[in-house]
Parts: sequence; structure tokens; C-alpha cells
Amino acid sequence: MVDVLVVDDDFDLRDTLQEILKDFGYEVAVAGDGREALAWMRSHELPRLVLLDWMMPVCDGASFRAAQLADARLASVPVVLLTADIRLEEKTKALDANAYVKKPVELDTLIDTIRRHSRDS
Amino acid sequence: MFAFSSRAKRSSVPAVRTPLGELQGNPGSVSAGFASADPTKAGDDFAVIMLRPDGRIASWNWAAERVFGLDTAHALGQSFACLYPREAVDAGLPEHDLAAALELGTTVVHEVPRRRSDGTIFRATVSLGAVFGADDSHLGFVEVVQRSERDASPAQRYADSLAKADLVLRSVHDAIVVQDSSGNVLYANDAMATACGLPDGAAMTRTPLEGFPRLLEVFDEQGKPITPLDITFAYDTGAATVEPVLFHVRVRKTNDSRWWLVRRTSLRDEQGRPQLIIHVGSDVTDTVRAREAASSLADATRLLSASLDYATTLRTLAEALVPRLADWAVVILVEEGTPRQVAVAHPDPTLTARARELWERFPVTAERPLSIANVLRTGRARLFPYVNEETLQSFATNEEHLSLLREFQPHSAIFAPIVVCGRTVGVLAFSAVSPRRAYDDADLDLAVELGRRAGNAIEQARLYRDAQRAVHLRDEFLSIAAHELRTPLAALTLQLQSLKMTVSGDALEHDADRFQGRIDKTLRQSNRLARLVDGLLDVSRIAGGQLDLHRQEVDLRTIVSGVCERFAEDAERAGSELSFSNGGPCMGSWDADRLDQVVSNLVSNAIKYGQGKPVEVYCTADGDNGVVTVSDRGIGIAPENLERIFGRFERAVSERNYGGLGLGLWIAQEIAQAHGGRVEVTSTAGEGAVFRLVVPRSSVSAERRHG
Repeated sequence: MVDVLVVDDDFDLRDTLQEILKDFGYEVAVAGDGREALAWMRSHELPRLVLLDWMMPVCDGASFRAAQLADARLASVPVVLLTADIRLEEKTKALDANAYVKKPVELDTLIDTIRRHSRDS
Repeated sequence: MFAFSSRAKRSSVPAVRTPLGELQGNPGSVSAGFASADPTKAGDDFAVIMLRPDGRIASWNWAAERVFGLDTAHALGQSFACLYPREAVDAGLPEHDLAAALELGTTVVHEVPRRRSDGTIFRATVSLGAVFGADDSHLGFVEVVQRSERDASPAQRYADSLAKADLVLRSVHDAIVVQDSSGNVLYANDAMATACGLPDGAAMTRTPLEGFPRLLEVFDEQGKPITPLDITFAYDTGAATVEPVLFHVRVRKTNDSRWWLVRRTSLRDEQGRPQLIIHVGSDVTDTVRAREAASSLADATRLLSASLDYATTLRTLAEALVPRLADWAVVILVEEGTPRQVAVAHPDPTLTARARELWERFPVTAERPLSIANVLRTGRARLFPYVNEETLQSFATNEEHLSLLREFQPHSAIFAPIVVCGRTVGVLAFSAVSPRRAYDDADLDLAVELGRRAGNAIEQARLYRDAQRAVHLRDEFLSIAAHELRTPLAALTLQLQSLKMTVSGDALEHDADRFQGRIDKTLRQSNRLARLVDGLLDVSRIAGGQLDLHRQEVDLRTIVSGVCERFAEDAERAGSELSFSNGGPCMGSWDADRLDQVVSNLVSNAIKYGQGKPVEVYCTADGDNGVVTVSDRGIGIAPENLERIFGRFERAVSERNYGGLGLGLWIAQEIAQAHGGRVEVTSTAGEGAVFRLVVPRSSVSAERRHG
């Protein structure tokens, strides 16, 4: 079962997150944008958490979150927002996300946030 | 008073005092009265003549026999024209007088010449009235003639003396009129007659007071209509000389509209009753117009500078122009190539709404209405002093519009260009419905000046908007820059923190290959950061004019193929096939690093916006130029964005969904231009884009071209 679905359009960051989370023993899947992420979730067993970038082409964080909440099967998956924007609290609220992690990311914070918010399997 | 039933019913018919009490018949039995009134019984001084509808003498009294020296037997059946001097008959006066009496009911003229049968001429006061039957049929006329030498009133004598001075008074620019206590015109000079639309002063003395409303319209300073009688009496305060009063007069026949400052003097008898009223009028049209123009301009300038939101400002301006300068004011502006009506104003809000509706139903185009299209095309103002059917057609976009426009009855109109930096960007149209106004050249000048000032206001608003937009772009840029810098920084920090853990060996095993990989990725992020920082530095360098080129002989192919190799991995990751081909060696004197930067930008954009479709790069020498073409089949660029993408901080895709600072193409273009070349783009939205870098091969040819 996948622990974390990383959704980010930046290849380098996506790649780094995947690699490092794997180091910590997480099972990781990746998606380049919101649309890919939704498609992945609809065709796989649900992940325990989604690590979601805010700014992406095609389908951004907000669109992804709206579509996810509208889909009963996907709605319960916790979402941690990953963003460089300073108005984090507002965005987290607007997106109804469970938590946020600020770019650049502190590794400890990231792992801690994922651990705290992941769905029980 | 004559009280025969008269077609023109009015209470203030001035008439000579007559003792003809028995003629005051009951209108219901006029024909009986006409038959029974024996004119022979009338007093000594008054010749009373009954005329048939055709002007032949039906009967008269003995006084008439005496006055005209003609016995009744000879007179009956003759045309009453035999009582006029020959010259008057030749001038058609008898017919004219009958026609006037028929139209006005009764006319009274003073000091007109009449002829006796022996050919001698005498002066008389003549009252001529039309007589109608109960069924409104025209029965004939009654004329009363009173010789005036013996009993000329002091007023008449004064008027006579004025008439003798007529040669002098005729040349006076001021309009002079002398009236008796009933308001009858005793004397008028030619200037006065002209002001009233009459050929000369004599014609004016022949015109009864009640005939004037047919000749002219008079308004007071506030635009309230007033009658000629009001002018004579309403402003009478009892003082000999009253304050000058301003009147606005329009002559119906010519449509000429003028302002008169009228001074009024009255001569009074011992009881203080006015005997003689003298009006002297000065034509102050130019002064009034200039004053109106100045205050309109001042108001307009104040309004135009009040706000930087020009749509609102122009609406306020249009509203301020009515009703002082116009009954209708319309502002049309060309916005993004399309003429749009931005303001319509009329003093009546319901009419404004209707007109607005009309403009919305029949929008202005580049071709129609013709009058507006012409001003937009030529930038020249148009004046239509009198709007006729033909002009009205030029105001309409089609037949339906024309028929609706007629309802609004434009009477006079001006179309002035709104000019910004020598370019016509709109039309200021105003029109007068009230016949009080016929626009002239002075109004046209004012409209042109208003158009110019409106143009300045628009220009200022645009500059302000541009400045605001620049500030907004900068803020947006800073926000994007933060995001763009933080993303690689996030990856870099994560890698370093993970490396630190790896090195400390607590959590993870040592593994040389993975260690190597991590360090490569770390370097990759720091390179990305360096490039972003370089971009920012380039912007400030270019903006400061410090982009120095280090030219050397290089083969453009080498530069381009190097870029393609470097981007192979990125292309693969994006799913795009990146192919490079060339048309042989392409040597030139260029700054290799800078051209590398340009080509890198074009290729990375092609991959970024290429939607995973093939990207083709081609390099060739084309005459004096080296040319690099980068084609993709991605999202393309909408036509309206083609110019914009080369702007600093600009990107065609408005959302910040695609990475990058939005500086790349601007820097690329600046570098190309520093080489004497350029970056060009052609694109169809949704079908990809083709970017072409064209750079002269030698700096000499570059200088020749651009020097």
C-alpha cells in the first residue's frame, strides 16, 4: 500500500521527495499535476496521505482538492499542502487541507507532519 | 376695439381707439352686423371701408368719401388698392396687407401713406381686420383709416423725428425700436428689423405686435420662452430706464440664434404713464458664447482632472455639457479597435436611458454611422449647423436607426475628435434639439478643445493604469520569484539534510553510488538557483545598459547542438522528442555564452509548453545571418499575447502554473538585439509555436543594419 502520493509539477522536487521518503521507509507514488493524481487515486488503492503542491499547470492544488472532496471514495484521504506562498494559513483553510509544509522544507517537519496526518491503514 | 370674430384669437390686439361702438357685433350674427352697420353713420375722422374678400370696396361711410376725395358711386366695386400710392401697389402692399389681416385677424399700421383720387398722398393710421361669419366663412374686411397730420400724438411725432433721423440710425450697429404705450412699433431701424428677420425698419412698423411670435422666438437668460409683449412691458419697473436685460432670440426663418442685451427707456406723461418705449439692443452673442465656452472649458478641465478613471470622467463630462452646451452629449471611444459609446447624457433621465438603449441596439462600427466613422478616420471635427434629412442619415447606422433618431429631433450637431498623442481615439458628439441653438464655428472650436482635453485626460488615465499595471506586474513577479527560488531551494535543502543523515550513518547505510547520485542532484539544484539568480542579474544589467558582448568567431551549430545535448534529459522527462538538424557550418562573430543562453531559453520553453510533443531545432546560415529555429507542437500562443510574451515579467499563460520567472524571452530578445538581431515568433494557439533567432554573422553587418 502506498503511504504518500507526492503531487508536484517540479521534477526535481518530486524526485527528491520520492527518494528521501523512501529512505524513511515510506512507499511513495508520484504525480506531475492534479489530474494525474486524481487518475492515479481512482485506479489504485488509496494512499494514506497526499503531499500536494499548490501551484501546478493543468490542474492545480485547489482544483485537485475540490475534485477529491467531491468524490466520496477519495474524500477521506488527508492532504498536506506543500507551498512557497506566505499566506499559508489562508490557503490551508481555503483548501480545507489537513496541514501544510512550507518550502524550503525542513526534513524533520516534513516527516513529522506526514507521520501525524497519515490515515490509519 | 374691433371684435369681429377673428381667426387669430388673442386678448392683446392693439388697435386704434374708434368710436365704432355699433360695429361691435355679436360674433354669432356677424353677417347681420356687417349688413346693418351703416358706415355712413360713423364719425367725421374715420373713414370706414367694407371690403369684399377679394379686396373690392363693398361700402364705405361719407368720411371715406371726404378723406379719399372720391364719391361712393365711383368707389364701390373698385379694388381698395386704388387707395394706396402707386409705388405701394407696385410693391404688392395691398395684397400683403389683406393676407396679413386674414392671418392675424387685425393689423394696425401707423403713418402709412395713402392716396387721394387727386393723386395727393397723406399719412394715416390704418386698421385692417378680417371678418368671419358664424360658420367661420370669410365675409370680407373692414378697414378704418384715420388721417394723422392734424392729431399726431407726441409719441408719433417723436417716432417721426426718429424716422427722419433714420439715415443716421440705420448705420448704427445697435438695434433700436420705438413703441407706443400699446406696444405698437412706431419706428425700428434696420438692425432691429434684421434681428427680427424682417427686411427693413419700415417692414417692421407694418408688422403688428402679435405677428412677431411667428417671426422669432425669444427666451430669457434662463431659457424660459417669453413673448414680445413681455419684452415691452414685463420688465417695466416704473423707472425711466431699467437695468439691461439679456435675451436669447432665434429668427425662425433663418434659424439664426443670437443673444441681445436690451436697454429700455420710457418717456412718460405727467401722470407717469408711458407714452413712448425705446429699446436699444446690443448683439452680445460673441461675449455670451465666449463666456459659456470659457466656463464649459473650465468645468470640463476640472472634471477631467478629478479622476483617473476615464470612463467615469467622460460620463461626468458628458453630463456637464448638457444643457448648457448641448441637449445631447455622447462620447464614443475606440477600445481595443472597437468604437464603443462610453457616455450618453440628456437633461431628462428617461430620454438618456432611451438614447443609451438606442446606442446599444445600433452600436457604432468603424464604418457606421458615417459622420462618426469619418471623424474617427480623418481626425477632423464636423459641424452641422442645421441638421437636415441628409445629415440625419449620416448619423444613423441603418433605416431603422434613422427612423428612431428622428424622434430625438437633432437640430444642430458637432462631432469633435478625441485625440491622444496625435491619434484619434474617439468622438465627442453633441447636438442641440432646442432651436435656440444653431452651432457655429466658435462652438466647433470649443468642441475641438474639449476633445483635446478629454484626450489628455484619457492619456493620463492610461499612463496611470500602465503604471499601476507595472506595479502589479512587479508584485506578481516578486511572488513568482519567491516560488521559483524556493522550489529548487526546497529540493536542495531536503537533499542536504538527507545527506547529513546519510553521512552521520545513524539512519541509513553508506552506499557510494547513491551518495554520488545525491550529490549530483544537490549540484543540479544549486545550478538551477544560480541560473535564476543570473536571470535576475541579467535583468538589472540590461536595464542599466551594461550587457557587454564578448564576441569571437564561433560556429552557431556548435552552440545549438550543445544546448540540445544538455536538454536531452529534460525533453525525455517531458516525453518530448528533441531533434536537432542543420544546414551546414554557420560561422559568425558572436558572444557564444549569450547565444547559448538565448537558444537554451527557446528550447526549454519549447519543452515546457510542448505538451510532450516533438520539439525540432534547426540551425542554418541565411545570407548575412545565422538563424536558429525552434518549433514545438504544444499549447501555442494566442494572437493577443504574441507581443506581450517578450515583455519583462510577462508570460502568456496568466496563471503561475508554468515555472520560470517570466524573464527568459525578454532577456533572449535583449541579447539578440545587442547582437543586431532579433527573436521572432509565429504561433497558432493550440497548435504550437515557432521561435526564430536571427543574428547577423558579422558585427560589421550588424552595425550597418542598426547604425
